[in-house]
Amino acid sequence: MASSSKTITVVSSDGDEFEMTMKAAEQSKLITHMLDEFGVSDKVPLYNVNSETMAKVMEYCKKHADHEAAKEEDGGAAIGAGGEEELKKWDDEFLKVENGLLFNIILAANYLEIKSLLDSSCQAVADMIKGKTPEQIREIFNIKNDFTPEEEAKLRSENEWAFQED
Amino acid sequence: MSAQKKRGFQIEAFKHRVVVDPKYADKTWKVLEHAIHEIYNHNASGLSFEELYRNAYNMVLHKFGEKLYSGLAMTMTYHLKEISKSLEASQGEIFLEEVNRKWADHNKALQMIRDILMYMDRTFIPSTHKTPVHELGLNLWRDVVIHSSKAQARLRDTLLDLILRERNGEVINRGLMRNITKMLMDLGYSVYQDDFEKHFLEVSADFYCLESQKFIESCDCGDYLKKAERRLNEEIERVSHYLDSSSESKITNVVEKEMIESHMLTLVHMENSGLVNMLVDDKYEDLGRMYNLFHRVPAGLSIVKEVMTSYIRDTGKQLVTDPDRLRDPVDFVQRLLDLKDKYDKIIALAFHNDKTFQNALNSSFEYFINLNVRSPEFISLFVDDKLRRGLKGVGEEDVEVVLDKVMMLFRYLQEKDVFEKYYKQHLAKRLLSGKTVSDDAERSLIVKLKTECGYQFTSKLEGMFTDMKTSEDTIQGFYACHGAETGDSPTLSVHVLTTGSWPTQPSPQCNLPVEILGVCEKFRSYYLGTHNGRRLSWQTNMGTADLKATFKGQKHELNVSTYQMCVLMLFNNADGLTCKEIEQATRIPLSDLKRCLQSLACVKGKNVLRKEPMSKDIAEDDAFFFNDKFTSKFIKVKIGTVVAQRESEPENIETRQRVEEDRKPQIEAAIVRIMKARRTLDHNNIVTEVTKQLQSRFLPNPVVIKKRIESLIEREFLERDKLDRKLYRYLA
Repeated sequence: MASSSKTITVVSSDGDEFEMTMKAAEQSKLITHMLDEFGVSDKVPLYNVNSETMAKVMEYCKKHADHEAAKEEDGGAAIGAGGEEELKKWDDEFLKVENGLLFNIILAANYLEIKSLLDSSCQAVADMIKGKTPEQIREIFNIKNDFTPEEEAKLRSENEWAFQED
Repeated sequence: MSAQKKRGFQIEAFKHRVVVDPKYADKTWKVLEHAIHEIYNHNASGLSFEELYRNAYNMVLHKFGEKLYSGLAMTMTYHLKEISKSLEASQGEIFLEEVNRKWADHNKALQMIRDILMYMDRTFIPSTHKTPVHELGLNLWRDVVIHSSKAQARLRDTLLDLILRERNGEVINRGLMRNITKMLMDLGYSVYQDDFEKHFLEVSADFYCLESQKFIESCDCGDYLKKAERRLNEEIERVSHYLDSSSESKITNVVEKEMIESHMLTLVHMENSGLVNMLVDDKYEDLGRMYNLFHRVPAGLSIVKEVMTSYIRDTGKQLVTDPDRLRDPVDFVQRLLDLKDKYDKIIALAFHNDKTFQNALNSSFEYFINLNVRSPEFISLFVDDKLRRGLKGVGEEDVEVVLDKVMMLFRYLQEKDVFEKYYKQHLAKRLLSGKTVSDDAERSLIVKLKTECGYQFTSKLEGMFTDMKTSEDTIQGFYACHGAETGDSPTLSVHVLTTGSWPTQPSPQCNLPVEILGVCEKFRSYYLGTHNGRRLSWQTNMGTADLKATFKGQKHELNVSTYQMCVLMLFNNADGLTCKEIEQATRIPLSDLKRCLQSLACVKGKNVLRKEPMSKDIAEDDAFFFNDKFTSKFIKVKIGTVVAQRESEPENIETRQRVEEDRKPQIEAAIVRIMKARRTLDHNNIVTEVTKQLQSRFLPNPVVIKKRIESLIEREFLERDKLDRKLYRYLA
């Protein structure tokens, strides 16, 4: 495979082009597969991802690629013991975006097969839901309450245990 | 379809299905369907992987996986049906080539399709437990193309036909065969087996059945085996080139069964070329081939072993019972050794030193060597011959080789004590006549016997060697003391033998010539002076003498036995004497005397006496005269006693009797040992135990054992149980 000095170009659904190093590209299994199959020459179209989301994904891939490179270099010396924790903190900050973008990031991570990004972004959404009441969740995710009062009452009584405050 | 706006994002509630525009699914599917068609029509270059991948991804994401999957199956099936139709046109090898080509195409297409539908393969299929894309593609190929009624039969028949042609010598396209069988394996091991291998094995069995029939009728054994081996190797090579390796053992089994197993007995017993002929003619290559081929077949080698064993036994039996052979013991033993060498070589070169064959050879030898009761005697004579002159000038290592071979034969003997008896006799003669070629060789053999049989076997033999040494010292001492006195008397050389160690029979005292008596008596007093409490008796049947004799022609020095000396000295005082007169004068036992006179009068070149009548037999009244006219080109003439010959019948019987006598105390000792340990034991067990204990020396006769038990009961070593007559008890 090409060395990390090589770069490739990906194109978003808006038509914007983004450059990324090979190492960063390797974070995405889909991109890797396409490069293996079809070579590096052309620009890689990724029309399922818009530019805003693409930019975020690029940032993530670059950060994680650099982190890996540093790890390999000194056998972990450059990173130090707290290196993994630092990265996690970075991830958390990175995902502090508005919900719409967050959801798009999840979809992009799924499409591009970037497992770590998919895991962290889904975790972020899960954290949003955890501990909230149904009303709060509906508020956050803009979900219409489509239960009839009777249905809702029935559900509540059946799942009494879930509504107990501890 | 991804959202472009930041809000208003709809997530489906878990209960209701909000179907996104159904037309969306159709549209997307159309794109993909078209792509699949293009791929099958070799038009894939114009397609965008990303677009197709994205479309498939979106379909699955929006819950249209089922539509995608079933669409895929339908489209592939359609194309495969087209392919199947196109294949119907071709036949034979062309058919195979077409199948091969279309199969390669299908695989390529399948690969591309799988790449595009990767997301579905990863997510939708596992959760719905459907067959993954690649496997689906293989299954459809199998069902639609290969198992279409015409294709299945045609494929199988073409493959088998090509194999038949190759077996008949034609060159076929092996690469094509390889691809087709590999295709079948890819479709599943059971497909390979059912569509091809099963039939292949059946057809091959028929083929080889016929061929082996043809060969058996037209070839001799060696040729047939060559052909079988060739076919076997051919099949192995065939598998390695274009069949699956799992078929190797199956097809070799078929060949082994049809070409070898079915005809095993015919081959082995084939007239003029079968196993026995190969053995006789030392056909190592053919034998090796037979071994290797029969090795593959159950019970194959045991037939070879059986036939070989019975042949060796017959050959050996003939050897040991052939009256001609029995006349020359040395030749007899040499032939046994040659026989062993022959078969050792065969087993080493052709049978891979197979232990079971070695054992069969050993048991055969043990069987027939013991058929002849004189074998122990003959082996001892063989050794005697070697140690007297056969090993003269032979290097040390080669001597060891010969002795080891002798030991090997010795081990086969059941009556080792008989051998011991003869060996002692022959050794004694060799030592006393100074006729051994190499002291080292003698001692080496004794060491080997000791290792084999324990020190008891050889302690007396070693005693004999000691006596020889001691005697030398004694004679030196005698002459040192009395040398001056003995002046005129004949020079004496004495061997003093310890009675127990030597196999001498007491000899009746014969009349020694007066000239000898003097010095003999001087020696006797000298010896008894230094060794108190011992008794000496002259063994006149064993000594030798050197006589100076004057004939008309010249003087000669005669080397004769003591008896012969006594006889010849008589003629110093008489010209002619009858046999009877000589007997009276010398008191030599008649049979010995006859032999003695024969050797003096009837042997050409050694006839220092003249006999009337000239016959070979000696009668009492035959007259003997000093033969003045005796000539010989040698000054020194040896007329010693004949070399240890094979015994005459009466001597033989005598020796055997002595052996039987010796066995009695050994049997008794064994019985007592056993009973002392066991206290009570029944009759059959005693017999078994005694046999076990003594079998390294001889095989005791149960009748004799019974007699010994009874003797021991009489002497109150044992008693019979009062209730059970078969039970015995040890009496302390």
